[in-house]
Amino acid sequence: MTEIAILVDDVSKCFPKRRSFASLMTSRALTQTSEGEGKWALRNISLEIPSGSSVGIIGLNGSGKSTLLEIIAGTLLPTSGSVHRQGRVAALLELSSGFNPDRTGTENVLLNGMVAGFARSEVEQRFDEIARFADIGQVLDHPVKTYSSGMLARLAFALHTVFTPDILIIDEILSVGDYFFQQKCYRRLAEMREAGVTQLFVSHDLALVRDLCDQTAYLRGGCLAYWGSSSAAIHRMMTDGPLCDPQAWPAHKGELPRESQISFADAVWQPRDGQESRLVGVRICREDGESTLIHTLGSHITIEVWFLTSPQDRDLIIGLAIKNRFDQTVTSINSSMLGCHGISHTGTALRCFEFELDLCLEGGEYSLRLGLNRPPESDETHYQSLDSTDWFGPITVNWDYQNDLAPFFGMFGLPMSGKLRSEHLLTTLASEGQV
Amino acid sequence: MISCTWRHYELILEMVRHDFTQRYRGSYGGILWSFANPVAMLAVFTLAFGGLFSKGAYESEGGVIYYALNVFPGLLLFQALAEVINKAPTLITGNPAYVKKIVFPLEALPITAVLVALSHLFIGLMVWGVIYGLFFNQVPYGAMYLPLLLLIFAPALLFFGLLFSALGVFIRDLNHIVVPFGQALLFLSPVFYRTENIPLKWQLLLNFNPLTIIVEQIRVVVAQGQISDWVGLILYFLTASFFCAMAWRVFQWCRGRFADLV
Repeated sequence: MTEIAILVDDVSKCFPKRRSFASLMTSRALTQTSEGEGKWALRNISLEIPSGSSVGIIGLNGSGKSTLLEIIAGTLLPTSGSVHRQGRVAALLELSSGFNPDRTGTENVLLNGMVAGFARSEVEQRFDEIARFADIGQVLDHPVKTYSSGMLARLAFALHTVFTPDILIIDEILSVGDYFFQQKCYRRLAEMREAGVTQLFVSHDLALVRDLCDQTAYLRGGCLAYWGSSSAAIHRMMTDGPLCDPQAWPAHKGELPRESQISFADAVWQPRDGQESRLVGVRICREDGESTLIHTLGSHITIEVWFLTSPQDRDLIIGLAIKNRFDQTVTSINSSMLGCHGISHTGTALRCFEFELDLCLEGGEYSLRLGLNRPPESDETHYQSLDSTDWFGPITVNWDYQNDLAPFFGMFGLPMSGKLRSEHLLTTLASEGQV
Repeated sequence: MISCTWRHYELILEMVRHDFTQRYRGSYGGILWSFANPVAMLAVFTLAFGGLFSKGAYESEGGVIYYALNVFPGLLLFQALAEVINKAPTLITGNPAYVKKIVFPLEALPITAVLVALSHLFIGLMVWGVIYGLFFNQVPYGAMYLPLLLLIFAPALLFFGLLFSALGVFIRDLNHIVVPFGQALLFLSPVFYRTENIPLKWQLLLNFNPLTIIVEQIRVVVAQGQISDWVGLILYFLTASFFCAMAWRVFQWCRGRFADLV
């Protein structure tokens, strides 16, 4: 039977709202957070992480990954539920985690070693080893605030891995290291895995998660959406439905949404507040209406853009841009170009614009950006942007080039038609033969 | 509480040491300022009480220098207390990395603040002892009792350090309150006057001031070479230790919520 290194038992975390002194006096703020107030970052997470395994945690920004790591590391206490850890935990939660910017690298190493529970003499003994691994030379004698992010990562990683912990927690910090340092780190991580160190990663580098982790937890909106094999978790994350689910809004039942009723829990961009017109959600649907980020080359898709109009903004224009993975704009088009002029409304309304297209793009990953614009004033040439999303994605276009004949090769399938026209036969071998 | 402090004593010592080097880093005087500051302060007080204010009250007792030297230990004591209570409310909130990013023994922060304050107090008293000796051509033998008095004073300091640093996280207004609070403690203690010289009802109030008995006993120790109120001091020490233990409880109880609020 394998031993459990970390047991996360039904953990929820709510960040209370900051309160004024007056409300602090009148409420139970000091004792317990009342539910319904504040923001729930995690809900009912339960995980059993076996000793010696490597575990990844993935999810979109704001899905609660870092909060979960902080709770596992013990710097945050869960609002409810509990965490049990077996052995000494070393956590690299943030680049400069625990470093005092005014102290030199050497002093920080000493101090952090002592914080981790080692005697001064032990830290001094291992100091050369740490310095050698970090390999940042004379800089060690300068204050940490003068370090580059790469140097910080090197020092932090060296410090936390030289004293082999029982559990190592890493929150996306290796990505700032250069190629050779990353190699060195992965070699060290592999050594530690051999030695039976339980490892926990948060990363947006899905390939890394797939390669390093035995098991992966996929968080979505603070809930554990999937817990199991890494590739399955990644697949779940990539295929998971709408970025922001308009179905959940009461608007669909014929009434206007109120601010508080719209949930942005898993949106990839944060909509701005205020009265002006703005985007509220995006869905990308297959022909059968299912919302997904993975599509087949050549399939007919619909991009739904949900937006709020306000009376003062007339003639709204919805823009769409697609980039490929080399950051080249594949296409950029808007509703006006598509012949849909003057989207406006006399009141505040939730509306949806649909882009329909045949996905004639080379197989691969694409990112999307949608914008809400006003037409240019008479003396200007550019659209005025009212709101826009970040570049989000990836939208995956699938094609099995090995086994199926693609409808086209190259970057796009340009709208093209072909037909056979003339029938002026020069030689009529066949007919001659027949005659 | 003691075991926890002991477990991290190396860390705490390192932090105290760093506080000293950090304070004077980049200055030409360096650590000398720790000694120069009390000297300068003493000079200013001598000037203020000797040159600017009326010389009446203490003239009979040996002159301006005598008065200044008498006031000085009390003032140093107050400075130590003020340093702790002014710094405490922002100790936790000012070190978010320690709260959120690593598992740090947070109680080391107020303990460090107290030790730093006590060290400055001790240096100040040494400077004062030397100057006293130079002016009166006699070694103040009573000064031998000073370390003991500092030890008795320590739990009171720690009480304020722990309590205010924990509460400072919840009540951000605290760091605006502590300065006038400190001033009140100063003027409600017999630093500038003697307890016997003020109305009786005020004397009672004075007894609740954590500075009072220590200030008085330092004065007695200097004048008579021995401690006059052992019972008072022991009671004071026990009470302060009790409050300090309570503050420790409060601190531990609050710390789970620090990370949410910092």
